[in-house]
This record gives sequence, C-alpha cells and structure tokens, in this order.
Amino acid sequence: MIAFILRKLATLAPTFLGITLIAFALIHAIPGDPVEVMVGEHMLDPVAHQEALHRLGLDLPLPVQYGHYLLQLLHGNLGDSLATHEPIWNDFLARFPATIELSLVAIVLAVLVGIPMGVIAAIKRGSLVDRAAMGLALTGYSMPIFWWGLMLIKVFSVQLGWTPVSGRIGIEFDIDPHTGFMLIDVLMAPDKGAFCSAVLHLVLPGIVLATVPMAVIARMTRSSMLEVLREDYIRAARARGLSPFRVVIVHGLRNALLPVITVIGLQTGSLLAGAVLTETVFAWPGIGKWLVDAILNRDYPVAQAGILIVATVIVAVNFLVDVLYGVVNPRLRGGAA
Amino acid sequence: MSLLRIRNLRVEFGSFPAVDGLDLDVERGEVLGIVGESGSGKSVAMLAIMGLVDAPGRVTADCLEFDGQDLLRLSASARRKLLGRDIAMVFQDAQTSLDPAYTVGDQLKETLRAHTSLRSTAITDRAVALLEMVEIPDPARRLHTYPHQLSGGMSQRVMIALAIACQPKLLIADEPTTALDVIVQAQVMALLAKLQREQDMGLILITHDLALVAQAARRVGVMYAGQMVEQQPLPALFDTPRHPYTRALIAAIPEHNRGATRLSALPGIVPGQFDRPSGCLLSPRCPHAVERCRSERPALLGEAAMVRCFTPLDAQGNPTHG
Amino acid sequence: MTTDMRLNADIAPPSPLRSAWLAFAANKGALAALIVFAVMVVAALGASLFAPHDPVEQARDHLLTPPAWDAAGIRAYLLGTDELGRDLVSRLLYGGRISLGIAFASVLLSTLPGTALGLIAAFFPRAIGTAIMRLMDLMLALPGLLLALCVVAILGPGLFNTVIAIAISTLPNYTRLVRAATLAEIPREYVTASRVAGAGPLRLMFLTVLPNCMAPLIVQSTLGFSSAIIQTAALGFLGLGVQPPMPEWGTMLASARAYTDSAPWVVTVPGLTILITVLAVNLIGDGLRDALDPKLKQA
Repeated sequence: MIAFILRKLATLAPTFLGITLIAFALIHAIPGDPVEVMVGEHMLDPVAHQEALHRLGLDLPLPVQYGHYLLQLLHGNLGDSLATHEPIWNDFLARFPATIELSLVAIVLAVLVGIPMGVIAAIKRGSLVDRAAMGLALTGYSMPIFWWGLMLIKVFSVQLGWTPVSGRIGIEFDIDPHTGFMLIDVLMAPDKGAFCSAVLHLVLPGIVLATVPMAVIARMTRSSMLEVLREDYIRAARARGLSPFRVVIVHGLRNALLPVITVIGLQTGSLLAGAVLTETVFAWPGIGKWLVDAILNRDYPVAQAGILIVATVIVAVNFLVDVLYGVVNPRLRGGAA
Repeated sequence: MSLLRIRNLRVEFGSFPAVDGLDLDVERGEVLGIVGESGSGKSVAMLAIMGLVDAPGRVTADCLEFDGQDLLRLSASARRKLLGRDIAMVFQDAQTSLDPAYTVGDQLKETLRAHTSLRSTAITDRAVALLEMVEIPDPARRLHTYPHQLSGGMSQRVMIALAIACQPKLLIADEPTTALDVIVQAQVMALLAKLQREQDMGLILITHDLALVAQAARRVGVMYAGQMVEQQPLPALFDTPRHPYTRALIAAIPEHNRGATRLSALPGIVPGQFDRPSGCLLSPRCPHAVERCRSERPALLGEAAMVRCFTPLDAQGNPTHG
Repeated sequence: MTTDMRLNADIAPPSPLRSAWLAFAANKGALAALIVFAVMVVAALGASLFAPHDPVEQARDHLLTPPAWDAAGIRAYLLGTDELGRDLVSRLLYGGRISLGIAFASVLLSTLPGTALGLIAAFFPRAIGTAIMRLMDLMLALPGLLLALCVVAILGPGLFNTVIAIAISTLPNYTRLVRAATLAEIPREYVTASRVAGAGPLRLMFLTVLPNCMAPLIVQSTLGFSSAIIQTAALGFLGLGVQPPMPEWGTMLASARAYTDSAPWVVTVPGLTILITVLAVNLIGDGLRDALDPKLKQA
C-alpha cells in the first residue's frame, strides 16, 4: 500500500516541474519586455530601463532566471502583487479558504444529489423518473452557470428575498478570520445570527457551482450502475435471497462507484473553473475572482502565481483520487493470493 | 409429496418461448440431471424457479410448487426468505458470480446473517466450517481473500459453500464445472456428490455433458427447444433411450463414433423464435416423423419413464406407435 | 437449379452510414435537437438576411424597450432592446454567427492537430509518444477555462485569441482519445496485414487506422463544440473574450448584468439562447454516441 503511494508520488515530480515551467514562461511569453509589461509602457529612458532589467535580474540568461524562480518557490516566495504591493502568498492565503469552502459545499451537494439521482434513474430505467432525472442532468450539464447564477439571484434574492445577493456573510457581522473558513469562524464569534447568515450566503453560490458536477455525477452513476446491475454477481446475490437494498447498494453501488470516484476527482478542475465564474457573479472573495481580476488588470505576478497554485491543486487532487481508487479497488493494488 | 413440482412451466420473452411447457418432479434427497444443448431453456427454467426472470420475460405455469409452497403466488419478501436458505443455486462462472469488492468471508457472513440468527464469532466459526466442508485448505486465512485472488476451482468451491451455507433442501447447479478443467471438474463433482449425500439435499444438475450426468445423477431429463422430451432413471436412459433426440445425443458421443469420419448428428438446427413448428418441435429433423408429428404437439407421458413422442423408440431403437 | 446470386436489395444490410443515421433518428430527442440546431445554423448564417436591424445601431429613444408581448413593447423590436437601444433579435442572430463560428473554428483547430499528435504518439510510442503524452498531461493540469484564461493572459482578449485559447485548452482531449483508440487498433490483424503489404506509417495512420477511430472522435468533437460555445460565452462574460460592441452572447450578458432586475429580458434572452444551443448540441452528441457505440448496435 505504501509502496503504491510512493510510486505514484514519484510520477508527480516531473509534472510539477513542468507546471513551474509553464508559470515561469507565462511572463516571458507575453509580447514585449517584462519591464515594459510591469511599468505599462515605454516610459523609461533606456538607461533606467536597463537598470530596471538588471535590478530585477531580467538580463540574466533564461535558465538562470528559471533557477532563481524555482529557488524562490521553494522558499514560499511568490513575489509581490503589482496592485497591492503585498506578498502574493499573503493575498493568496487570505482568499484561498473562501474558494475551498465554496468548492467543498458544491462537491458535497453534487455528490449528495447526483449519486442518488443516478441510482434511482438506473433502477427505474426507461421510466418517467429516469427520463426526468436524465433530462435535468442534461440541462445542468448544458447550463451557462454565470447566467444561472444571475437568474437565481434575481428570483431568490431580489424577488423572494430568501437569500443574500453577494458576499460571504451579512455586513452587519464582524467576524475574525481565524481559519478563513466562514462556517468555522462564525462558531467562534459571539453573534448568534452569524452562522445562519453564513449558511444563507453559501446556498446560491453552492448550488450554482454544484450544477455541472452534479449533472456529470448523475449521468456517470446511472451508466455505471446499469453496467454493474447486469453483472453475474448481482444475479448471484439475488439468488441468495439478499434484500433489494443490499443487492443494489452494498453490491451494486459499491462496484458502480469506482468510475464515479474518478469522475468526481476529475471534476476538481472544472470545479475551479466554475469557481472563477461563480465568484465573479456572487462577488465571492476567493482565488477565482482574484485570478480574473489579476488578468483583467494585468497584474502578471498574481496571474502567474495563481495559475501555478491552481495547477498544483489540481495535480494534487488527481493524485489523491488515484490513491483513493487504489484503496477502493483491491485489484489495483497488485496483491497476490 | 415431491420437493419440487413443476407442471407446464412457460417462460416467454415477447413471443419467444424460451421454456415451452416444462414438467418436472424432484424428490427429497434425489439427484436429477437435466441435459440439453445451449438454447434448450434449461438455465432459464431454473432461473424461473428461483424467480430471477426479469421483465420482459413472463413466467407462467399450471403448477410451480416447492416444499408445498406455491412459488407463483409467493410475495417478494417470502421468496427472499426461501432463496439462499431452502433453495440455492450455483452458477457456471464462479469468478464472475462473486462480488470482486468484498472478501470471501464478507460474502459468506452476509448470507449467514441474512438467513440465520448467528452473530459475531458464531458466524465466523460457521464460515470457516463451510470452507472446510468444501475442502478449501487453510480456511481461516481464506476468509480474507478476494475473489480475484482465487483460482477457478477455488472460486467454485466458495460458490458451493455460499449455496450450502444454510443447509438448503434443494440445490440447483447450473453447469457448475463447465468453466473448469477436467481434473478440477472431477474434484468439484465429487465434492457436490459428497455434500448431497451428507446433507440429503435434492440436487438438480444442469449440464450439456452426458458423461457428467451419467456418474452423478439417478434420473435424467432431456430438454429440447424449451421442452422436456424425455425423463428416465439411469442407466435406462442410456441403455434404452425412448426419444429420437436422446438417441441422437447419445449417438453423437465421440466414443460411439470410433472409426467414423464424421460425428453422427441430426440434420437441421434447433428451432428459434421464427421457425417453431406447430407440431412436435423435433419433427423437421426427426428421422421417424409421421404426419401426426407435424400437426400435433405430443404430451409428456409415462410414469417412471416419461417421453414426449408419438412414435417413441422401443428397446431395439425402432419407433413404435405410442 | 440455378440460383440468382445477386444480392436482393431488400435484404442487403444497410451501409454503416445509413445504419448509424437510422439509429440516430430513432432517438426522438436527438432528432428534435438536430432540427433545432439546423435552424440555428441557418439563422446564424443568414443573419444579414433575417436581422431586422443593424446589431450595433443604437436607437436612442428606445433604450431598454421590453419584448413585443409586453405592454410597453414595440413590434419592431421583437425581443426588446438593450441598454444602448440595440435590437436584441439582431444581436442574437449575429451573435450566433460569432459563437457558432468560434466553436467551429476552435474544434477544427484542436481536432486536426490533436488527432495527428494522437496518431503519432501511438505509432511511435517510445520517445516521441512519451514526450507528447507528457506535454498533454501538463496541459491537462490546467483544464478548460483555466488554460483558456492562461492563454488570454498572455495574448490578450479578443475574438481571434478566444479561438486560439479554446483550441489549445481542448487539444489534449483529442490527443488522448485518438492515441487510446489507435493503440487498441494497432495490434489488430488488419493493421498487420496492411503493414505486411507494404503500407508506410503515414498511410497506416491516416488511411488504415484512423477511419476505425472515427466514432469516439466524432462524439468528442460534438461535445467539444458545445463546450466551446460555453467557454466563449464565459470568457465574454468575464470581459476576457469577444469585446463589445460585438454581439457575442456572453459579452452581452456582461454589460446587461446591471439591468437584471429593471430590464430582465436583456439578461434572460441571451442566456436562454446559450442554454438552448448548448442543450441541442449536447443532445445531438448523446444521440451520436448511442448511435455509434458498437456495444449498443443490434448485431
């Protein structure tokens, strides 16, 4: 088991290196001099320009610059934001928990709704329930979620007033960001209504972000269940008089979940992409919005750092999914009788 | 009273009768063999008994009784009490009939928990005892192995252990050794015979292998195109087959064809969905068919020796007039 | 007795193309979606014919007019006007040209190189193949929108760059798919037979093996088409895609956002158009997958 994990870790190293290469190349791929890029225009006189290049170490050969960049990364130094002049790492830490919180809520919602939807559709294959469930899934899968968010806000926040329009918590509450996770921080605050407010603020963005993964999970679960229910061991389980619950869930779903878990893992990437859009619509102070703002405002150090971090997170999650898959499917571990 | 009593069992998929009027009796502690080629409906009939035929299949019968209970009118939960406890089934491919995600022990204990009131250590002990009964070495350790770690013969033994876990009155073995090699085949058959004797189970042995059934069974039924065409005790079935199809089956055995250039066989093929005769199902191929055979369906007649034919063969192999 | 050996046309099995079409057409949802999509393509191509107004012309006295069925609506502006007085119907039609055009171009730009790379990776699996797949793995570390954002960060926003960004972000999918399908085909006997008959690698790749990998490729392209429409709109919505005043549906949503409550049609209509278009293409994709999947074919 340990050997399996270590082997997987070893294959991560080159990928991670490649990601740093891409992030590094980002600034240098932009047309024009990096100094011009950062200053904005050709405003420096040639001497100051050369000085700036030298000061920033940009006149060194590229491989050396890359080496410096890697070294800085290992020290946890991502550089400073052009906009805030703060270390990017701090800006990131302030915002990352918000995105994680939103993503976790979304993935939990997607799994809690998607898997049962898929199971029921599979059991009642061909019926109205099946067609309705899959119709819903297809619509969710085809949904432009930024528009979906706007529509939900219009109906539930503006017209019905049930949910707030934006942000993580009502502005009347002043919560200390101990962990950065609003749901945890509110529990440590004295205000009673704060928890409710935090939850309410998570509802719409969570639903919006969960829409596409939920649809994908539902479809995948259904097709995987249909395949598994055709297997011999399902028939054999029924022949032993086991209850329908045991047959469908304990034997059926358990085996059907394997490809579904892979899909859930792969959804992380699209989840972060969806976070970008969701955070923009709901003014959610996470890294998605941070990244988009950085690109819009040409804050290239932040863009570079953001992409590096996002790619690393995705690679890490894929790695965890691989490991989890090995745990769940004994055949993959490579044991022998 | 018979343990299992079937009269006119029909299983239809759309308009196709996979089982076209099957009659069967099995007594307590008796071994009945059922032979027939692929597509004769023998497996489907067994699934129908177990209630495992799903839509769009339709199961009807004049009589389908097990141990005095009417299987046709059984509620789903009553049927689930019966399956795995009083009637059990062993399938052809043991590897794929075991859930790959759970250990052997998990699956054994699951069945025991469903049908008995044993719990905790008693269940584990019984599981180990079952594995010993099916002659699996080192049974305590084997509880923790996964199906993909077992060999073909081993998995079949586990299947058998699962089947006899609650001491069923009737065990249906559907081609239990077809997927195994010859040596393992003999071992598994010997095991089945031993268990049947020790537990006094009724055993229905489905196979296409005449030699297998000759050793194991006391009575044999022959199925063709969804019907039982002959039923006789051994060795009478082999010595004096009464149905032309049975005779042709026996004649096709390689040992009976020594020196010939071709195996003897009946011309034509088994009727499928679209070419079913309105008369006797064998009539298009039967060398002794007369006018009546082509227009009327014969019924299964007889007491100890039953045959479905208007011109059953006599002891010399010549057709008589029923 | 002579037998007429000509194949009776009535009992000849249908050609693969015809049987695929029959299977597809049996799926009523997919068929309806195909019709809807065809209508959209025609509408988009003929935008200059069908559009009642110029999409960038601003009618100053008709700002934020509701759709024609509303009390305050005008028949001349069937779906109303936006905040600058531009007719929504015309903008949607021309926007269709942009969205469908970008989607088509990006699918082409990613399928062709992606397929070629996949074939090469499969036929030369050692050094070249590994290098290609490593590169693809890298590109896949930043999926979809994020990779597109990366490209836009470098190249800047705009229509052309949107095409490039989307093409680059979807290319690895095709490479992986074609490589996997090709690897499955290479050991088969017909390939060996071709090789023995003297076929060179180019011929083997494109004429022998590729035709047999078409089914999953077609399905993936269709799904890539619908995802490209959404990506285009997403980038437009973020302000990083097609720039105003071009009537791209997502870009329209960005500027209309402020009027969600006061003039909802400006937001609802373009969004619904995106949803319906993507839904139609996805239904077609599903239908194609069911029709072309050999497992489901009734042999």
